[in-house]
Amino acid sequence: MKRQGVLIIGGGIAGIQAALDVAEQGVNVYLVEREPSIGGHMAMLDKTFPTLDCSACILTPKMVEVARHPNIGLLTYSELREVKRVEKGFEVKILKKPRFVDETKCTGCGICAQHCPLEVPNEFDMGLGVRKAIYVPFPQAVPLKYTIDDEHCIQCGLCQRVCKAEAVNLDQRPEVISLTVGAIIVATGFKIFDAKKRSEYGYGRYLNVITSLELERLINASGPTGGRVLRLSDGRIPRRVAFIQCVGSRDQRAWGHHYTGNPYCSRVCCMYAIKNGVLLKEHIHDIDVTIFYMDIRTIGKGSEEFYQRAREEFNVHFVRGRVAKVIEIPETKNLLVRTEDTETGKAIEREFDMLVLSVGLMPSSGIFELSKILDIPIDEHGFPQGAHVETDRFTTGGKGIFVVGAAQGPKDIPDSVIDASAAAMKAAISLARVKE
Amino acid sequence: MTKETTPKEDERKRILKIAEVNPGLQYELSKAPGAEKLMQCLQCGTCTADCPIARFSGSYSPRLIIRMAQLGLISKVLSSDTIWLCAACFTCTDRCPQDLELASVLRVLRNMAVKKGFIPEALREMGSNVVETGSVYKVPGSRIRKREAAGLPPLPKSNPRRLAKLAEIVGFPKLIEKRGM
Repeated sequence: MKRQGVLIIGGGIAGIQAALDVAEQGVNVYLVEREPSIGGHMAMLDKTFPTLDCSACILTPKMVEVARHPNIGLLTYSELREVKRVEKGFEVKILKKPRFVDETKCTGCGICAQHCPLEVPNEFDMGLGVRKAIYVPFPQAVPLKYTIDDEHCIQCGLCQRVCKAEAVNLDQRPEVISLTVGAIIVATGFKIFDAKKRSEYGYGRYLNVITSLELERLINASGPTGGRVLRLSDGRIPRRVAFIQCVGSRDQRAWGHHYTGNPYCSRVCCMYAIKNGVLLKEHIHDIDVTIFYMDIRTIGKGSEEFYQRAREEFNVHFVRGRVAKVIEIPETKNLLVRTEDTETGKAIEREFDMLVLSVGLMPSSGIFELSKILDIPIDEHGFPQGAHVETDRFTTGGKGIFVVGAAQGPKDIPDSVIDASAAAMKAAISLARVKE
Repeated sequence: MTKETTPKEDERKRILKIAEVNPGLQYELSKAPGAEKLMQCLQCGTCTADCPIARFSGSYSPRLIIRMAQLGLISKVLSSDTIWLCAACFTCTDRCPQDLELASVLRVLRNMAVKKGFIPEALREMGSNVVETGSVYKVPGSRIRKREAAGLPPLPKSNPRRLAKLAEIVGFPKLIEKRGM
C-alpha cells in the first residue's frame, strides 16, 4: 500500500526543506505557493548572517531540487481553499490561479516580457524596481514560467503574438485541484511590520528612511540598482547610515484598536542589522554606520562573534538608545535622529544621510483565513499555536497538521531549516501511524 | 577655589548611603494610579531623547528618575529638582515602548515629595501666596503705588478668604507647611 502524500503550504526556505526531507523518504509531496515562484523571503536577501553566505547561492540549488524531485508536485500561484478531515487524512481543494501562460509550454525565454509595454513596480524588489505585466519575479525563479499580472495587463496581446512556444493563453480560467493527503505542513512564513505605523520615524513620508528589506534589495547585486546603495531622494551614495532597531518589536503600546507594535522580540533584526552594517562597510569604503539599539540579542551559533567583529574589525558604531524621533531636513533631505546615548546619559541629535528601519516579523498575511480553513488555533499575536511551547511546537490543531519556520513565530534561516526537517519527520511518523 | 571644590561636591553626590535606599519604594509607587508599570522600564532612553526639557537642560532625564525610583533611592528622587521640571507634555508617554505612563509617574513622585515635605522653596512660596492672596504672585505694594501714580485701573480683587476656606478643607496649607527635614 502506497503511503499517503503530504501537503506543504508555503514555498519559502522552511517549506522547501520540509518538502525535500519528506520527499526523500519516498513520500509524495504537494508544495503549494501563492506567489508565481518559490523562494520566499530568503530569495530576496543578499547575504545571510553570521557567515555572510550569498543567500541565493545556498537557496537556489534547493529550489531547483524541489522542481526536479520526482516525489514533489509543485503548485505555484495556488492557494489552499478547503480542507476536510476524513478518516485517513485530509481532503483538500487547491485553487490554481490563472497564470494566462501554459506552464507546460513556456520555456522561460522572456521574449514576451521584452515586448510587454507595461512596467509596474516589482513586489519582489519591494517596489523599488520595475517588472513587466508579464513577468517572472526574479531571474532564478522556480518554476521559470512567466505569469501575467491580471491586475495590470491591458490585454494588448503582444506577448501572445511574439511567443514562439504559443504558451500565452489569455482565456485561462482558475482551476480547482482536489487532493487527498495524510498530513499538512504549514510553512507560511512571515510578513514584515508596516513601518508606517511608527509615524515618528517618518517612513513613507521621508524618502531616505527605508526598511531593512528594501536595503536588502538595494544592496543585492541582482537588485534594482545592481548592488549600489543609493539614497531614494537624489540617487546619491549615502556616507552616514543609521539603523534603528526594534521597529515594531518589543513594543507594548496598545492604544485601543490602534495597535501599533508587537510586544515580542523578532529575534532576527539585531543580526540582520549588524550583517547589513558590515555589508555597507564593505560596499562603500568611507561610510559611517551607526546602529541604535535597546539590547543587542545575538541568537545562534557564531552570532556573538560576528557582533564583536562588526564592532572591532569593521568599526560599526553601536549606540545604546532607542530612537524617539526622526526629523527630515527639507533642503538636503538628510535626517536628524533624536536619541539618548544611555551610556553617557546625554540626549543627542545626529544627522544621517539614510536611515534603515529594522522592522520586526509578523504573522504572514492570510494566516487568519488559513487557520480557519485548517481549524488550527492561533496565539495572541496571530501565529499558529503549537501543542506545547517547549516539547512539541510543531503539532497544531490535532493530528496530522504541523507548523514550521517563521509561520510559528519569528525565526532565522538556520532555525527554520531545523524546524522544517523536524516537521518532515513528524509528518512521516503520522503517516506511518495511518498505515497501521 | 571653585575648581577645587566642584569635584569634591560631585563626589559627595555620587556616594550612596545604604540607609537612603528604600527597596520597597517600587511597590509603594506601583500602587499609585499611573505608576503601575514602573518596573517595566527597560532604560531604552526614548523618553529622554524626545523630551523638550531634557533637550535644554543638562541635568533633566526622565530615564534617570525612573531608574532611581526603581532602585529605591527615595531621598535622591524626592529631593531632586528635576521632578518639578516636567512640563507634562506627555511626549514620553506617547513614545514609551513599554507603555509606561512616565508623566503620570512623575506626578505620583511629586505628590509623594509634597507629602514627605520635599517642596522647592519657590513652589512653597507660590502655594502660600495662593492661600493668602488668591494669586500665585504677590504683587508688591510699591508696584500698586506705581500703578496708581500712572493712572492705571486697580487690579482685580480675588476673595482669598473663600479660597483659604477651601484650601483648609482639602488640607493644602498643611502640605505646604515648612517641616524639619
